Amino acid sequence: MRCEVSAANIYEDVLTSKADTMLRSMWLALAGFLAIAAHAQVVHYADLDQVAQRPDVQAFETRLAAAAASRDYATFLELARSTQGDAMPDMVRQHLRVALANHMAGLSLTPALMQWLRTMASEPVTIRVAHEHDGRSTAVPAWDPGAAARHALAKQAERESAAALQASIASGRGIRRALGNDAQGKAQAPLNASVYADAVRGLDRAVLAREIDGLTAQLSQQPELGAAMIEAARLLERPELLIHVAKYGRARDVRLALTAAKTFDDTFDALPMIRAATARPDTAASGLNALARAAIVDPGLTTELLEYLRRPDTARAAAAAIAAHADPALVAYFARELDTTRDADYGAALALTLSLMPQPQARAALLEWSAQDGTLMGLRIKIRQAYREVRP
Amino acid sequence: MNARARKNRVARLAGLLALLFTTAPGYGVCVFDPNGTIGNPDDPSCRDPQFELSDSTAGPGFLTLGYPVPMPVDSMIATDGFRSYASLHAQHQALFLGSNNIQGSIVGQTLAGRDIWAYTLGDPDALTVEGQPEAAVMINGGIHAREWQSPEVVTEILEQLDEISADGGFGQYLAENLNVVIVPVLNIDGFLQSQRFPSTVTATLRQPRDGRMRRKNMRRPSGGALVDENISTSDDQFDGVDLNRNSEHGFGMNNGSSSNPVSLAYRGPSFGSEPEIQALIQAATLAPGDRLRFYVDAHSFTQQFFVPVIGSTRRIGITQELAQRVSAVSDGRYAVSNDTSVNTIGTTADYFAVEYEIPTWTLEIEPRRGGQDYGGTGQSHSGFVLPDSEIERVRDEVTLMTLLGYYRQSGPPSVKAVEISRVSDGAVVLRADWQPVSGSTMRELTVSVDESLEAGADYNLWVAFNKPMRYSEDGVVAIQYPGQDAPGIGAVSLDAGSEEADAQYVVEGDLSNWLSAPGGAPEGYDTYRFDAFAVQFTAPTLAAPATRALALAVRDLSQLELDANPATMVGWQSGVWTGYEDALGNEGDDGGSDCSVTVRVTPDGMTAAAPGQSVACKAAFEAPPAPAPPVEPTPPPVDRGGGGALGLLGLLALLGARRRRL
Repeated sequence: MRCEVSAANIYEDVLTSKADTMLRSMWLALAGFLAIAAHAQVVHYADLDQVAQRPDVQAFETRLAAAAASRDYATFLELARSTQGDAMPDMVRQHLRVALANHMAGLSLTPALMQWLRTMASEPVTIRVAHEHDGRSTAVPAWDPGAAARHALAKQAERESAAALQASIASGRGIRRALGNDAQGKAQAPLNASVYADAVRGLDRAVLAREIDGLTAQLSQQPELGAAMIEAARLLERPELLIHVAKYGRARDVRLALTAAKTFDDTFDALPMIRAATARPDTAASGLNALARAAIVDPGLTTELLEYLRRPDTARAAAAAIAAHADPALVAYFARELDTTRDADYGAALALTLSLMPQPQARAALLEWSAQDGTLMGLRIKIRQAYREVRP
Repeated sequence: MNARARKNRVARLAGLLALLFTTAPGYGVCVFDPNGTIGNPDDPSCRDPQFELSDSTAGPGFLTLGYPVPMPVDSMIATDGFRSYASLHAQHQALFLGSNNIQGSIVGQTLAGRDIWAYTLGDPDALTVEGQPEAAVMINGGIHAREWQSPEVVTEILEQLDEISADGGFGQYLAENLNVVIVPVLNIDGFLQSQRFPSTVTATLRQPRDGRMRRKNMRRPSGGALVDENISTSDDQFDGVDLNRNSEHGFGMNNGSSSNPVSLAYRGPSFGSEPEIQALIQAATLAPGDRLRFYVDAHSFTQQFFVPVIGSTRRIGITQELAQRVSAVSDGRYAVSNDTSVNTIGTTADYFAVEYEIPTWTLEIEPRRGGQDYGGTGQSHSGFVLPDSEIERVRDEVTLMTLLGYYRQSGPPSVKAVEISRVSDGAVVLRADWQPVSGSTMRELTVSVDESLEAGADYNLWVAFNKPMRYSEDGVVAIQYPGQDAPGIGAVSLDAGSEEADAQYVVEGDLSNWLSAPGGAPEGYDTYRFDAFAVQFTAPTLAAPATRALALAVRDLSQLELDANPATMVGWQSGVWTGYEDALGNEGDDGGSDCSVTVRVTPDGMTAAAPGQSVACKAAFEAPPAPAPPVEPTPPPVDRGGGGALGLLGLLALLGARRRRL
């Protein structure tokens, strides 16, 4: 049996694999090496400029942008085919093919365009540009048509996955089954979070309303469904659903949910989801920032916010949030607390808060406290030494 | 939408429209001189366009990455993304205020008056466990604003050093024997500007400038004003000084920088003109400077070390070997660029290499080529925008690499104590300790028990070293440090010092002989987990009483050989090791086998040899060869194509077996 190792079949493997991120990166790097290993021509940036400013290139790109905007696939295919062969200089052809592929990444592609991209996906880098990096001369790909094509194909694959998921959910299988198992009932490998979100975005609102409980239940087992839940909350205009993201979603989705919460009207009480975010170590900082922002509007929340300073698991994040958003009048309160506490952890949290607050009076209070002898001497000495300003 | 955002959007739209109607997509109408510097910075068609970074939106006005555009994240802990400066700074301060092992100092202010902090990690006494002044190492982060990988990695180093400082092994050794100076973010003003506009760049995609792609600080060339924080006021967007060209050594030399304020590599009016560079120099005094042994300036991208090849041959050799060992942690994916054709150009790595005569390099964190390494489009400058999904792995990997460098530069290993006890009754028959002589850099060997071994009887041999010699991920099982190849316990023998076949009696052992439990001899480690091994052996059968050297050819985690003469402690001066002897007693940078402890063996019923007899050991004449450095990829040079073939072979070998798992 013949074993071929080429950029094309490696990318094919990687794009369709369940490989972990690191392995995936390593394979992509290897494929990159294979692609660049071909003896590449080295040009200068001025040559690239000349290509970009050619009237025929600009005319081509104008047609391309129009075709993309109107989803005119026939023109797309015509433009794509016009870049084949030797009719145009190699640098012009590469420039245009990369532009084509980048536009295709945002479109649902026809089989003919897909085939065109597949052929392009294995193309090596053949033109590099002389490049200085931190004082060292090197050369980087001028165009990487293979990378652009592979990216467009990956986006197409994601769109197809999202469409299949939508169809499965709409068919009445139930969202939990559709998300957790394939049509044969086998457990599915997790998909890209954006695929789930795209699938939900395309659902009929009535179907989504019917399936929302299933999505909620599935989210507790599949954190990557957080973006889909944010989408569902938006489509159904049910901001209270965001609390499930705060409880179970990935940290990045919790942050997005906290931002999304601000887009709903003022009657939405975001505090439960903020508190849920605050309770998780990986999202405590985001939750406390949201709480500190809320405390500006509702000073009654300040007491709650200050309580987080006393808890070892949230003290640091609370200090940062308070420093960023809290009322400067609190400086005096922190100074008093610092003066009287004997609790080393709480003292460190108070000192941290004062050190992070941008107001000059916060620093003055901290330095004044550290200059005196008293409790928490180790901390006082540390601060004295740190702020013994050294001006070169 | 607030007023500023509205103004930004309007300006951006105007820029986009201008771009659509006046120029080709993507390249603007900036004119470049032969040095690659923009020649028409005042031309609105060059300076005004703004571009949006996007996942997959393509076309004029967009820099399409092919993956989600990273946004700064508020998080006190390392997360699957890039932290905001506020979060990073809060975390640094929290670690400093909450840890006994971290001190903080304000070493200067940025142009905008923000405090530049340096943190030092190490135990308060600043002395090694043997009472010597601790060695120091230093790392600088965030000198170039757009290289977000750098502050993340440097912060991770701070976090991990603190986290492992009481682990009983590797981490505690570093905490108690090394002083680590960390400047997490030097160019704070520029970093904040890049985070303020995380998806916007200006000018031209060939050389995108302000916003996410700001590289320099915020200096305006005249009048003392600063670049403002409004990206839409475009008359100042090309301004700033490249802080990595502003240092004294090589300033303005070797075509490595520019005197043109528009240039990305504008060096500033004079060396050290920028307060950020003055602060960095000030931070080095915290080491203190005369104890510095290693400096790294963390950048991105291209995944390699730029090693200044200047100064003494010995220091260059030490630096290159150090870089090879550190690179090996990444399986050689970080290339070592020893470019002898490049002289000093005013980088901070140049400065520390020349000024302090220490190993230094410019660390270029991944990607190697650009976003295409992660399935992205690979469009212009995407290498500066590492995907969120990669940063956790990158933080961990570069920290693991860096800590090995710290461990190595803390000093070579040496034998600290030897004990031999009888298996049958546990009686100690030999105990030798190398003990520091107070007030000096000497040690003396104290032999408190020195009885003869009986041929054919079983004994426990326990040997302790002055540093952990093996690594562990779970605190129990000894392993090699990732990418290194330190064998079992090394080569251990009772050596008659001759060339004859039976002159060496080999004592066998493997990784499991390194000790993870405390308690000292005979079954516990001495000071740090895995700083000692214990192995059983049978005393050789001899025809007559004899004295043999206990020959120890053992390498530390980073492959450094033993200091063969523990009597003189190893130090560092003028760019080289001092007091570091090989098996022949020659001072140098390689070390060798230790034969400093002798063992007497007596056939049953015969008279014992006299104690204290000196024995030459065979190892003195035959030092084991150093392991071969790993195969590593080489970045493609500009003057010839097809670069990276060696790296390709290495990667193929590395990945061959794993491919089936896909």
